[in-house]
Amino acid sequence: MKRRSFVAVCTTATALAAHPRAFAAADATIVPHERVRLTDPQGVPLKSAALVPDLNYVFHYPFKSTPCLLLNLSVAVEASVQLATEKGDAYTWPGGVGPGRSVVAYSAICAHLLSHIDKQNAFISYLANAGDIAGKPNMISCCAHGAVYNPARGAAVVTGPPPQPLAAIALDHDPADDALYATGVIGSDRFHDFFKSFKRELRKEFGRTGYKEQVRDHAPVTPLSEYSQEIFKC
Amino acid sequence: MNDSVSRRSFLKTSATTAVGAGAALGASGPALAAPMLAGDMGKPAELPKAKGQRVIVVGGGWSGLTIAKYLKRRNAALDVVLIERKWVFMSCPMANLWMTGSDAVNLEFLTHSYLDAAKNNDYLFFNATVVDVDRGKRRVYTEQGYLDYDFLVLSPGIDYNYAAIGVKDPGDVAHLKTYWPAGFQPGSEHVSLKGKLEDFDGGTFLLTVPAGNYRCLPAPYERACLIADYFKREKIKGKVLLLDANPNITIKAQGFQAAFDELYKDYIQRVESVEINKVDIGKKQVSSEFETFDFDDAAIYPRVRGAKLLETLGIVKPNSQMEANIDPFHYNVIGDDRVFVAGDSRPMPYSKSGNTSNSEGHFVAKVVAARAAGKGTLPWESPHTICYSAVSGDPLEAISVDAYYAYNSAGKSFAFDKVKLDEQRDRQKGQRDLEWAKGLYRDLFT
Repeated sequence: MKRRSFVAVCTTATALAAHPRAFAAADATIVPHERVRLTDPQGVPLKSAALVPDLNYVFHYPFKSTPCLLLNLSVAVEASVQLATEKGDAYTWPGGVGPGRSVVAYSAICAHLLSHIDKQNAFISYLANAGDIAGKPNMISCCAHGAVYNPARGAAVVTGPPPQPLAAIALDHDPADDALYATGVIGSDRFHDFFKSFKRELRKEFGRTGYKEQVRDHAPVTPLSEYSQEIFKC
Repeated sequence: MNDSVSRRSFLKTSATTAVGAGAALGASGPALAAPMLAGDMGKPAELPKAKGQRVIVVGGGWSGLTIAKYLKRRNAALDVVLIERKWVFMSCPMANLWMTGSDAVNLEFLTHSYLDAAKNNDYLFFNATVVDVDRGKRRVYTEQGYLDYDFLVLSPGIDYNYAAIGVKDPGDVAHLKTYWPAGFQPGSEHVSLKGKLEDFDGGTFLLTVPAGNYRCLPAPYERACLIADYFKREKIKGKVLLLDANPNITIKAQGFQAAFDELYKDYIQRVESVEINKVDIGKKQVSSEFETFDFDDAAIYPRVRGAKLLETLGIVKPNSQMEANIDPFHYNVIGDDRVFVAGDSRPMPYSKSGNTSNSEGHFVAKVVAARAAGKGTLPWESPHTICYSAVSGDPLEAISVDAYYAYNSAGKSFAFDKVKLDEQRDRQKGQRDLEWAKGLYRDLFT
């Protein structure tokens, strides 16, 4: 076998092993990005067992400036949910990962008018208790215009103005070392509008070109209480 | 001459037929006289030719800006033109904080470029004044010439109704507009009010709350709170005299009353059920049937009415606040499936507020895009009224309401639905107020 084709075969085999879901489902609704290992803020690989149930965690993915919420839900998470984007395109949210299939992740950019999480403010976050605008427990609420999403159901819109669910982050769990990986984006995201609307602020925080760069290799996960100065509850 | 006469009567006939005899709608042909049409107004405006079906949106406020953008998002092939006579957008919401000296809101926060809105959303901004519409020809006349439309959305907002508070003489109206502006049509009025407060030497500052469905129910109460807060902070011996045509505070009553009682006891005097019927300019007095009130300075908010353009076009709904005669669920002018009216010119009793117009605009864009695509009517969607009111400027604290609307087919009326009131003033709601506005500006301009 010629060296080039040998290398090509090995690469493909490795790629398939690393992306079992992508291979198995051939799911066009998961847009693959860099496969990135979730770590603690110091870079030590995060184990799903370390995630305190119902606590808000923040990481950035698939771009350096696009915030995400990571949750280990204490409530039952649906295994597979049929959802639709604003344009009417159907997609399937594949459920949670981890031993209890309870770990989920979503883009923390509200699908309504882009209120999000940054170092100063967390306008959108998960509340285990019943908040005023959600009226029921275990919901993600956005305190700008009253959006409520259900994280146990692919962040489907429960009430309020968003035209579509939050984009979900595709996660992989490796039971061998209880590792978590972010691998892609599910559903319709608002990244393009986010970059347009917040270009000045994102450049200041993440660099003139850095804010639009893909996250590679690993993504640090921080408890929201340590990330944002003001966490809104509503 | 014969042609124009027969056209005008044809249009009048078709309009009358569509709505039945006795409906005083007026002709749908242009009110412009022949000499005016012989000049610039009678020529096509110097604009690019329409690249597809042309939808003209009249009015660059919270409604028009939303509709123009989302028409393009629904169908990029539509040729959208936004006509607005002002050359810059200034936000009425949040302006009370600016004019009372808040650090949180400056002119940059409030001011936005129509050019940015047009550039970011791929539509044409035409800085012109609409003077008339020939609905038969589907032609919009501006002072810079005419444009033809396939579909027309009018979002011309409100005009003030000074006659309703007994001020009819044009000289008197001009005096009130100049010296004691209402502050609900953004631009010079707001800049003037800020200046007034900066220069205020003390005494009585008069604010009025009109009767009827006036623009922005909570704003006069918010303004009273923030002016009182400003007097307190700056140690100005001033008092806000709040003359309210209504018996009760019209919205978030508990939250506002708590602020009046707990924060501004010596600074705000609210008098209920005062229907002003006279303003004495020389004596600086306003009167109702029963009482007369003196003031040193004022922002006199008379009643509101639909924009005068609706009257020119002959599409005013009887027994309304001179608002548009439209289908309340589909927004088209009765008898005309090419012309729509949205925003504060609507006759439905929704709150006349920015969030309401923005959320309604998303739906109206859907409706018009569907019509343009030859599709049928869509099921009605309620607008969303979510609104924060700042009751303290420093520290910035606010209260909020979140509501939808429902239609009662038995009573043939709309009412508030799914109302969530949060009248406990706090700092977080103050910050949420700022983000509420920023999110909406993103929606209108980015």
